[in-house]
Amino acid sequence: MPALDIRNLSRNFGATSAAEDINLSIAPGELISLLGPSGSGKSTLLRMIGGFERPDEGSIQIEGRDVTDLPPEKRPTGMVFQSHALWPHMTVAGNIAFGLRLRRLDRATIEKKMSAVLAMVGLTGMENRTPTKLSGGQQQRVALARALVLEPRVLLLDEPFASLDQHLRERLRDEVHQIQRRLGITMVFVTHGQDEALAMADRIAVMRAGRLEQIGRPDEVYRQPATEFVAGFIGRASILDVEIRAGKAMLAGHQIAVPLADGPARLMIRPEDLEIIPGGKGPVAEAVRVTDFGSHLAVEIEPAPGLKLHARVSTGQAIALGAKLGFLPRRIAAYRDGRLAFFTPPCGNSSPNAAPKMVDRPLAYSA
Amino acid sequence: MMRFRPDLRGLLIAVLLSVVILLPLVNVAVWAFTEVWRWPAVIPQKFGLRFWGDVLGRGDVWQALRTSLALSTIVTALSAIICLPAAWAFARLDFPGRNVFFMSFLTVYAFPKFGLYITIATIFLGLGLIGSFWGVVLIQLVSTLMFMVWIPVSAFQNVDPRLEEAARDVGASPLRVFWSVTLPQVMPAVSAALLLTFVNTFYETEVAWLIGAPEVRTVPLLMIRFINSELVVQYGAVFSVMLWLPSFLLLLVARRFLGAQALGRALGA
Amino acid sequence: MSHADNNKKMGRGTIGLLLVAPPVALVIGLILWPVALSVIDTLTVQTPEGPGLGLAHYIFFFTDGFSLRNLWLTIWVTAVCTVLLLGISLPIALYLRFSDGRYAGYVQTVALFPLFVPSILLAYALIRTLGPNGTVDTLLNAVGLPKIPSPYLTPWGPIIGLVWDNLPLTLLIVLAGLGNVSKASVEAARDVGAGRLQVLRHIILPRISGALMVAACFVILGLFSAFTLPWLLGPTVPEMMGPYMRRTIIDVDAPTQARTQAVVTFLICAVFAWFYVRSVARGRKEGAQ
Repeated sequence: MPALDIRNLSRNFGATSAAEDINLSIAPGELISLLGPSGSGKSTLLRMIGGFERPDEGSIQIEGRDVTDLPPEKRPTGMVFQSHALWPHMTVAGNIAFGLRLRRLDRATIEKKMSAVLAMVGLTGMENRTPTKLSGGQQQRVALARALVLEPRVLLLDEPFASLDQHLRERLRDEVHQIQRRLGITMVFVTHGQDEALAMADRIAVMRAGRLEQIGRPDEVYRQPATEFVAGFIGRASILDVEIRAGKAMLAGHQIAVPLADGPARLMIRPEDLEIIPGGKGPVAEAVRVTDFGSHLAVEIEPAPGLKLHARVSTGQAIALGAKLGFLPRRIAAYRDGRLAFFTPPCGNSSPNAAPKMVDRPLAYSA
Repeated sequence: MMRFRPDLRGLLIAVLLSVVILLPLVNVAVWAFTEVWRWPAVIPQKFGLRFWGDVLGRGDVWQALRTSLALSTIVTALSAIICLPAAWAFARLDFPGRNVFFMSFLTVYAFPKFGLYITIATIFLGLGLIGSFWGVVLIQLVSTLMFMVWIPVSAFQNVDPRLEEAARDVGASPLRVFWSVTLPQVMPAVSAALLLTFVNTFYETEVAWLIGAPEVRTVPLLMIRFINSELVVQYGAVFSVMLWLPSFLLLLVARRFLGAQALGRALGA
Repeated sequence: MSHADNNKKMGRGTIGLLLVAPPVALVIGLILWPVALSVIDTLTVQTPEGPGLGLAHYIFFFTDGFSLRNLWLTIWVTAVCTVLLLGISLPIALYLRFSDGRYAGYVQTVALFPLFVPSILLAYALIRTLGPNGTVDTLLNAVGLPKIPSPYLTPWGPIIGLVWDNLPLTLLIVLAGLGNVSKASVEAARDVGAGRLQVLRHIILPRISGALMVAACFVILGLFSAFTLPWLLGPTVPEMMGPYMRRTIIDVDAPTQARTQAVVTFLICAVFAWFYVRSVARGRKEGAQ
């Protein structure tokens, strides 16, 4: 039985659709990231799971139980808010124990649970501090502890690290991931940072304008983006228009095998799949921009006027601005009407491959 | 399945508030345009504008209007002359005792107002100022001080000094800077304070009734007369509708200018 | 600082003092001076040796049944109004702040409407509505219900009027206080299992207790010296302090007694006044930081 089962969920705000017919099924212990640009509806979806927004249509089930009409206080969910939302008039202990006191647990049990959860988030000894005296990272830890101590069936995080600086964000991310693994707790977190999603999630659900564009494992979403939007949103991609004739397309001078029916299509190439061969034979392109990122070089080449391709080159190769470089696309994905129609299989042979269905009910997970 | 989201709580509050707040006012408005309304009819038997003619033809109505308008204008003007330069000084200059003096205007609110008026009245009694126009002016002036100092001070403080510095930088004299840069920026707040003062003075009843009666007959005092001794209901109703005009203007201005949060904070929350 | 700068600073200081002198003089002359004079006058009693200090006037006030009944009526009306005002404005403020209801705009407009109705017109409107053969009587009669005794000329007349009149300002102060409670705070509380009442008790009320106190003080200061509505809508015996004081000074022509009554009201309100001034001063300081 899925830990969280969302069916046909829709929510409109006036004329805009914040969520449109969302179907999502999450297995127990799974960590799902809702990823998308601002306004994609990911926060709205999270809030609907938590009970803070009511859907217009559809249903939400947690462990088989229909919670669609339940208010937040009756749902077995725990939310970590973006602004941590700690109560300033209570101490850390007060914040964490509040939910336990509402459930009328006895003092000893409360103390025990509180110590355990504080140890888990690394804040032992901070019971009597007030939230205003804590750093940003500590505040988020308290917020996390407050949600965890109630042992929710689903833990929800709404861009919890958005206000923290880079290093703290990564550290907290790893800690949260470890806690999630250790407890085996089902977790849904919203982010607009793909690094976070790719690093943490078991599966990523990419959203745009209220619709679920793709849901899949990070490598699936990266290697086989189901739509052009996903391809462009996750990682870098060069996308160009081509015309397919007899199963082949011309890509800036190279002939690529694309076994699709004749007609226009759009090809997507990841920078690391575009091999740069300085002094190579065949079509050449001028390097119009070279950026040194320390760990790699980002080279932008212009094979034809107005056509720019992004390539990623390991350091060690000296690429000068303006140099004429050979290039070879190793792997491409082809899109028709915005949806994935063909992608180069991992072994490198160009064999026909049906477009992957947008996975809405993963068959790999059993009850 | 489409979910309908009824806002029952809001509906209940809206209905209750509408009845409690709007019913008395609608009632008066109906009376003002009634010619005949006998008990126990729910709506008047006959509508008409007859009593408008009657009220507008009364001499005491016009005299009260003249008195009230004169009073409001004079008090507002005097208040502006006295308070605005002081507000500018509080906002911009530093002088010994600045904070103490500024807070002193709060003392007006620290005492129950009418008790204050009584203590002043006892002095005026000895000075023979009871029943004098200028006695009323003086005390109404005092009750305007709080708004006419605090609101403009806040406005002056909110003028970005960099705008003034930029004007000085291009060669404007201090007076010119004040006229062309500072004044336009504080104009909305100051105008609001002036309007507020004018309207409040126009409707001011307690000082007028305590100090001014019976010689100084303002519009609220005439209204009291209508309430107490006028048998024809419509006179009071028509007069009420007429009188409401300045308040209505204030309403229009407030909608554009003041926000609910700002007003609440200004009162001390 | 150089000599020239010092002079300039003193010059500006002098200008400042001159500019603020007129309004400050008004405050001193028409507020502080009359209060001081009243206090001194009421503490002065005629003894055989000449004028001296004594509490005779106050003793008279506190032993006079008539005065005490008026004072008690005022306290009672003020207390009832304060409770009603807080009790009515809190649910409305909670609705406006935390529910995304569709009537929020309308509710706010109507609730703030009394700000634009002067007390004197309100008095007339309430008499027409609640008085004998008024709208309420008419409507009850139309549906066949018996007439209820009119609150006009009972203590409930001023109570209704004063609550009506003070609702907007109370609501605004409470709303401003609620502004300090973030929506996320409330949502977090509901997330950990708190029902609506529990959220109110544990999360909201602790945070707005300051604002509620300010609202109560502001209201009490205003109610204690109310004159127009008690005088037009209330009973004559006993009467509230406002009309009582006026009668004492104008009709009975006993200025010292009137001063005593005024000072008594000052003393009773002193605690609330001090708290209110302190809150406003503190709010200004925090706002400036």
